[in-house]
Amino acid sequence: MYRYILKRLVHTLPVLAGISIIIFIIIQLTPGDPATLKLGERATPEQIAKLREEMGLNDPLHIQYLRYVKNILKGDLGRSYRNNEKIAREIMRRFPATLELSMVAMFFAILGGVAAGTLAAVKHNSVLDNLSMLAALFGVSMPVFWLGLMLLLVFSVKLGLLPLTGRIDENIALDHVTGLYLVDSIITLNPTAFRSAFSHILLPALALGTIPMAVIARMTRSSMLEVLRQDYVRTAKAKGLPERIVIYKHALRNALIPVVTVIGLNFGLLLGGAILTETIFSWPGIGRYIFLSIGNRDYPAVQGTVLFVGVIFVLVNLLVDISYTLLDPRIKYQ
Amino acid sequence: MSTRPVRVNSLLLITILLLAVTTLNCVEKEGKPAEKPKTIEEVGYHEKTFIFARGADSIALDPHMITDGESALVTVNIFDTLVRYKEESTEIEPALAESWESSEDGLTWVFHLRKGVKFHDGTPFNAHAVKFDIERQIDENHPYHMPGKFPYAQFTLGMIDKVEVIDDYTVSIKLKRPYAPFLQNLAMFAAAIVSPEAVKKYGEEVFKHPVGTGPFRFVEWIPDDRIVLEANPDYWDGPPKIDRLIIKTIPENSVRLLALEKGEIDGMDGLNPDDVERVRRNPDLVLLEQPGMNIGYLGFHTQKKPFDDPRVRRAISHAINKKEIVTYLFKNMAIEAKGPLPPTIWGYDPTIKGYEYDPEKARQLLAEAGYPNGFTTTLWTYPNPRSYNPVGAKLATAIQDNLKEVGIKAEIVQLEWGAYLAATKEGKHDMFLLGWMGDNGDPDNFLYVLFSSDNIPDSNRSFYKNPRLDEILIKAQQTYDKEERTRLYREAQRIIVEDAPWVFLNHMKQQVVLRKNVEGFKLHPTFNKYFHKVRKTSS
Repeated sequence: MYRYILKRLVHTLPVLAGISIIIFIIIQLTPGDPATLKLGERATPEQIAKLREEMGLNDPLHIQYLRYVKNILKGDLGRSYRNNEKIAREIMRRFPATLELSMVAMFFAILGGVAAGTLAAVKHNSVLDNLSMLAALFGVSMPVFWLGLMLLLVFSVKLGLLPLTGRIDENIALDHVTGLYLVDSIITLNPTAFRSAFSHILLPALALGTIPMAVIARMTRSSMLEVLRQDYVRTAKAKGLPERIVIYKHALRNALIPVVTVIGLNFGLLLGGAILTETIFSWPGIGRYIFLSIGNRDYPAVQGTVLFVGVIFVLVNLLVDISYTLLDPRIKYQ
Repeated sequence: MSTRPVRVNSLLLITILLLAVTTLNCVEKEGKPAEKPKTIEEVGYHEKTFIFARGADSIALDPHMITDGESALVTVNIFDTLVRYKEESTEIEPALAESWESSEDGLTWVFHLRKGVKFHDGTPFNAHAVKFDIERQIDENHPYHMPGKFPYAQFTLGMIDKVEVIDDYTVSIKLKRPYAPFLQNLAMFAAAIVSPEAVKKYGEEVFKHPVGTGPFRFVEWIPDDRIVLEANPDYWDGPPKIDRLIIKTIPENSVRLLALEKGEIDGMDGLNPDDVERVRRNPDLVLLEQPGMNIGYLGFHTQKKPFDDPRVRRAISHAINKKEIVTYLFKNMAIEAKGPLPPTIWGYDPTIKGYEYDPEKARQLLAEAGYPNGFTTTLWTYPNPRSYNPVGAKLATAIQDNLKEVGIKAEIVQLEWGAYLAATKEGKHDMFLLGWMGDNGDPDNFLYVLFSSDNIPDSNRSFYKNPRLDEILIKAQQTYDKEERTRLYREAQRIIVEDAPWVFLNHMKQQVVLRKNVEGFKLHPTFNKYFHKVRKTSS
């Protein structure tokens, strides 16, 4: 299996190279001279010419691309035009927020989605089935923006149960070890911080997890329905195995392959940052950073972040591929 | 390869399980005696923490590097300037400089600095720091100069020839030419005094390690989330009334208001126009508003026919229904302009009545000028909202309608912002829309910049030329007597309004909403927000 993992890792290289080329070209095609943008509106032509030379903008494109790749390999994604901060650092300061939110959202999505999907499949054509699929349809169709605001209105404003904005109460001191506040509060044994971080993440995670939850529920249902009709399930039942064992041990596990694919794709998407959710819930993550960088024409920031998100997406899908072999030992890769 | 069946779920599920397990772990721990209490209720210092929320984060906290309001909002509370604006006005009063005098020829300024002031890092504030800070920005050979990184320096300090340290607390600044608004420039956020030791210590990273002499010290900055400052107990102008100042980013306007209504924050800006009524009805909230240091205008190319005739320009000034534009198009987020200066700037002439909306009079003036049936022309516009025009190109459509009523057929020409600026600079337009945000609170920054023939075509894009006005504006720039300057600027305003090179449309308002228990906050015409004197009473 390790050889397989290694092979898959090697396979991702051309994908990553492709991503880097596409990003590089798109940035080349966007209007505006980087040196002018970096120096601002009041720069003199001499200053611009000097900086163009320094930035190597007068070199042929392929030389510029190679230099770009060389820098990436050194972990250098360049500096922001806006404040000269290192892009890599900007990303690392925001990614934990996105990672934490995505993980909790996926936790809800998987828990709710798999449970509802399984239930619907087992109780096929029952009221329960129809109800949960109707709910899933709602979940898929609901605009996140609207859902987020509604959750805030109900749980924060009307009921006053949960906070409105941010990741943690401003008055709580928390040492930032990993940047994942839930984890940090556990590591530093700070239950007050944990409670606060948990109450802050609930609503955004719920809003963000709703669509994946609905997708997972629908996928689990259809996949389970297919598996439940298979001969080996009938055999298992005929052997007199209890229904519970048949469903959870025999059927569900086999039905999970397409579900895991969907989970992987959705998780990858969430890790790219959810601009709307992050905006409504004032969540300082990577999605808003990309959004703001585009608005500010901060091209190195856009370039660096998109590349980062691309790499994360590829890695998550690699994990999904690997997990197939864990779920179903019959799947072998040569 | 190994085909050993692995009895675990996917790696993904493991991560998620781990999270669940850790969650359980912690719930378990909560049973144990809690460590040091840290919530608002337990600590009880919420009373002394002031949270102000806005829509976007700061870009940098080095005042020399910034041009945006969100950055300045924070830096004006960390840094001081040599002189500062008085409360609620753009007049100047002493700050880090206790007194100053200028030479007869107006070229040399000597500042006597406040003694015993320390930067937040403990290093002393003195004349060397002033010299270092100014030279850092304008001397390209200075070791800490960063090319292209001090966008405001040319405007604020570009007229400085050299800076000399006379003694530790006396500094002399020599100008290249007499320039009366110099003091106003020194009060701008961009002219703040940064600790030279911090600049040396942090180098290019100083933008996130702000060290000043101001009322608040920097604590931490979590990007896109919040910037935390704490009171400087040794502040020379008395310590702040709050212990902590948190500037929080809440991007969504409606959520920010909800947070304020709920009491999670104490103040905010960026109110949705549609929410103004809701705020007014809420007894827990207070809405502060004031026209800002800006103007939106409809300009004429005064050297092209028919706009070379002042009667035509006055006719159009009567034809535009500013009241409707401000009320319906701008949803009351602006006030009508009567002349070229916003009312919050000193030197504003309150006796100027401007041009009231009167289509009949407009038609009459057009007839007098030889256009009884109107004429055909072009109206140039940009597509995007600007700070002095929240609706972008829709403004042009509204004006087009007004013009039609008096018989003028204006064809709208719309260009992307960059191209628009280039085209109007070349004078391709007949009528055009533009605006101006003031920098330093000096009338010169509006009147000379926008109407002097020296500034054709850079900032005077109506190509307006009046030798008498030019003379007044130069004289006002070189006279250091404030009363005399005020008199000159009032005369200038009367000339400009009479000549009508623009239709003076609007001044956008700034709005801040506070909880009722907040005291001591005042709006400032520069849009700067000073929290030094803010305090909260228990409610």
